[in-house]
Amino acid sequence: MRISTAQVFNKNAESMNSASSKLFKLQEQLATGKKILQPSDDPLASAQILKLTKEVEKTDQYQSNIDISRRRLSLQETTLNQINTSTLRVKELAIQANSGAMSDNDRVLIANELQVIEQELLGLMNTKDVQGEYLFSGFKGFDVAYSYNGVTDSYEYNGDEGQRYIQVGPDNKVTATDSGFDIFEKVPGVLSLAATAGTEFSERIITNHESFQKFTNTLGPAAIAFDTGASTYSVTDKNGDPVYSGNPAVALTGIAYQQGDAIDFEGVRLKIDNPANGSVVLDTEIQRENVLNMVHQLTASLRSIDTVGNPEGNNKLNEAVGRALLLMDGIQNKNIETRATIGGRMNMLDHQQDVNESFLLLTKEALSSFADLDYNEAISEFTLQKTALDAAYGSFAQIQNLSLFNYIK
Amino acid sequence: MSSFNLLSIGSQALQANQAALNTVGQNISNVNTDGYSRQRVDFVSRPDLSGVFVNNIERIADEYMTRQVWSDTSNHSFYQKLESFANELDNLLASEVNGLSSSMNDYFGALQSAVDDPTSLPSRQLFLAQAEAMESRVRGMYSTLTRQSDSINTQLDSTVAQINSIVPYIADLNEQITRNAVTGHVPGEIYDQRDRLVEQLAGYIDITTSSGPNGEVSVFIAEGQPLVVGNNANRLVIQQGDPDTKKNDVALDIGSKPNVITDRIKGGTLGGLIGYRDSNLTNAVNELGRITIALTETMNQQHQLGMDLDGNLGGLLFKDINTLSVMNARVIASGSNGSVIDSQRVEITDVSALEASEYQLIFNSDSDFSIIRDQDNQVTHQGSLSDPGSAAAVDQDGEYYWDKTTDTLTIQMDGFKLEIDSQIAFVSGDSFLVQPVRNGAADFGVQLTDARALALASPLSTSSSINNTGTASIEVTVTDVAATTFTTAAKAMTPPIDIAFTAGGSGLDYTVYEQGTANVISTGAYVPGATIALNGYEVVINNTPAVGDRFSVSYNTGGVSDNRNALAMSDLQFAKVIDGASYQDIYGKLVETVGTETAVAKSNVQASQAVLNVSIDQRASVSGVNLDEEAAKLVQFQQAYTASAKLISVSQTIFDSLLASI
Repeated sequence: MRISTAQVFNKNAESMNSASSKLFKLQEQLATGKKILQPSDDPLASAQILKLTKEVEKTDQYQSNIDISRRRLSLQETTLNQINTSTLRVKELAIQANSGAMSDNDRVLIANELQVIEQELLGLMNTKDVQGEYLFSGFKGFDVAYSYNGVTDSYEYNGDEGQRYIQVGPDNKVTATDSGFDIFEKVPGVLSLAATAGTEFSERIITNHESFQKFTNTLGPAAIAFDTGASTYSVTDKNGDPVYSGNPAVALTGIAYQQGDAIDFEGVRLKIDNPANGSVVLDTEIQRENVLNMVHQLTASLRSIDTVGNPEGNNKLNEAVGRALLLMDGIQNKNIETRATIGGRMNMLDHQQDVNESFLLLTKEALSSFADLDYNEAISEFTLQKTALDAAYGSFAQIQNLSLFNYIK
Repeated sequence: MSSFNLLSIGSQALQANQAALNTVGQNISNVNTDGYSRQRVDFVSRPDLSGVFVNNIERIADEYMTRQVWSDTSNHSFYQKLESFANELDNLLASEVNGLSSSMNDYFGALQSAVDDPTSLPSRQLFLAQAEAMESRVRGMYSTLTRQSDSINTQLDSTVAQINSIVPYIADLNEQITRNAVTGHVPGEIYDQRDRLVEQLAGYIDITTSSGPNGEVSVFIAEGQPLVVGNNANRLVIQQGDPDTKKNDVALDIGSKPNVITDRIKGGTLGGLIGYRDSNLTNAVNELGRITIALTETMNQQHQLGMDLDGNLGGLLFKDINTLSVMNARVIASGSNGSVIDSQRVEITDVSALEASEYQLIFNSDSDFSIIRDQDNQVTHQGSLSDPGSAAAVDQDGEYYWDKTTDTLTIQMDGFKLEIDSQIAFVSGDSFLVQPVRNGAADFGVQLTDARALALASPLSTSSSINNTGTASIEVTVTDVAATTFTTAAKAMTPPIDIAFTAGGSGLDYTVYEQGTANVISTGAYVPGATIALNGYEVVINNTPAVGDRFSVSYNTGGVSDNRNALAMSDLQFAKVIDGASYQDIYGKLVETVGTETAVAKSNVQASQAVLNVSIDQRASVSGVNLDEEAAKLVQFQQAYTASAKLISVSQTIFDSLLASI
């Protein structure tokens, strides 16, 4: 083919252009370490890179959520642990207070210690997290969880039942908070005589919670029928059958009484106080107390019960301590149960963290395979292009010398 | 035979070879002149030993190859222009600094921090700051796209000016060619110059040509519209676009009425500009608009179902997508319409059904209309005003209603409701441009400024009776804050409710009471996990309640630590909100589409360059000057010249000899 002179130069300039632009692109890739400098370099990979970057950032976020959740759950766990320790001390003191060797004075000393523990418990249950939210107030994080109400002489829960969930994995949300309602309020209650049951009795004491509970579950409530004419009473169970008492057991049917006599049966002790003629049903109810009220009531009982001047004092003390211990069992069980749940959640967080970690690793690997430059390949390509450009320069230098005019003298 | 004959032959040869040497000189001196075709002397010998004469100075050119170069030039500059714009868009979309996806990641990341600590004002403020950062990112992208559109209009102007300056010269040169042809010889340089101008013109716009008997060339554009016919030239003009005033039109000014040819220009710089604008740029702007509108609406809807730090219901997080001025701007009537419009609007009703497209509503007759979706060029809907449809709730796709008394046409389609209120009846030929998402990115903005007003909580909270013995748990979801439950009194639920369980015929029955009263709101058989829809909210009770168990739902007063609504908002990042895909998936698809278009444009630039190079090479190998060849010819003609001079000298010697012999 015939070649025009201008063509020779143009061709050369053009091939040097294209070689140096390829070289420049490679140099840019080498300098940035990125294979794809703009989406058109590889549109499919670019869309993947966006998607994978989103996954990586999201997973990073999950990981930091896990850290935050773990911090909050540990705070809860620690707090609950301290509450439990305090409750154990309350238990010791209660048992101590009930021992026969204790004088009224000794019990006041115990009551004083209990009062301190009560304040300590209040502080623990009103713990705030780093954000200043009350840990156990549910959704009402700015409302103090427990406060003392002078009118009812009790501690009241001001929060709600809200539980916060935090996302820790694509399909995994963890409960990051527990409400005071669930942990402290919703504890097993104790069986008590209903407040309305019977004005015929000057004393109504549960002397043995276990027998009373057993009786109530199967045969309660008991009914006491007075015959004021004959000054006798009879006690029957829910089926109308007589209730037995004493050892040896005697059916409580048509028993003669005097004012101030005590009726003892199935763990209940009642003192007769001018009854009307007729029947009284001994209603029961389940009483639930949070740990604060339990301690508060125990303290009050220890202060007020007089075992010296009052013959019934020992029985009352026995009842108060027995009730407190029963409540405490429920409170402690709930505490342990909650901490077990928290432990389970923290295990789940650990597991999720591992899962996220390996997902991150895989995703970053995939991301790198799309986005990052293979240096070996790129450097060898770079060398190749450089050689090509060198050759273009060299050959051009040779060609530009060739002209017939050089030979025509 | 006269001895003078030799002298005559010698002087003719001398002249002829001088002409040849001059031609070589001309070739050598134009070795670097663009468009120059080498010339060759055509010697013809005279009969009866009477010497030689220069018949013609021939221009070596191949018309077919020249035309090939023209057409390849159009093609190449088309792709070059397209690629330069596409490349800019491509860089814009995916860069970490400018791209939307990274900004969305930051936004949802900040939302997660708010989920973790809903009471934390710094977290809330960070989230708002990220929302604002996303706004400025979207605005930045939109303004780049607008700048491209402006730049295209400017370049249309300047390109048309270039064309208008070239065209008269082509006509002029055609005239010179015709004129010279009468006298017998047309200098090659005139053809060269003309062909070079046509080549330049081909770079601006795709052309077809036809040659006249003397080699004059007529140029046609846009499927046969005459730009140059012989020595007559027409002008191109730029007109403001109709109905889209932002898209200027190119028109050919023949006689009185300019003839719009925008859609028929397929090559050259103009073709590249128009092609990029009408396809790549329009798609990108609409897609970006669709993403931002969907984001705005879904985020707003969820945010409004929430409750803020002060116990108020959530307001608008982003600016409303359906304000009157925004809705009005979505419909543009053509300037040539016969009807006069009182008001027009497009209300977006369902973001999940939106398409990233513009539509044209065209009246084929005074009563029949059809709607064409630009994206796929489909007639999506057709209708007739003589069948006015039903006034009741135009809310199903394809439903329309023509209100004769007010001359109002309402059409529901593709997730929006179009309403045009005309003063007088529509006329055949009327057209409207409907752009539901075109301005989405421009209208995008954060509405909320107070971090306390972020509605991260849910306005309803549930509680259970402490004496519940069953295992049931309750969940409540707000569905409509416009219900009287929420509107009757601020920061309150009217009425709060209790739900109680009683033994029913075949299991448990539930009864919903107004809290603290015996007023029954609703009652039914209990199905675990089933949704109980109430006034503006839904209740779901799972597991097994016991007879006598009670649950309550009341206003979430003081519920500052609640993050349920924030979680729901955060879940939107992965929700399939548009076309069954998430915001970022759709954005990824846009990046992929633009990337592919750019990659194709790039490879087309290279391919068309290669093709153009081949045709230029082919043309150059016929018409281009080779210095070696000219050097050889120089020697050849110089020797012939010397020899011719010798003829004269010999004839003189002969003459002298003759004289001497007398």
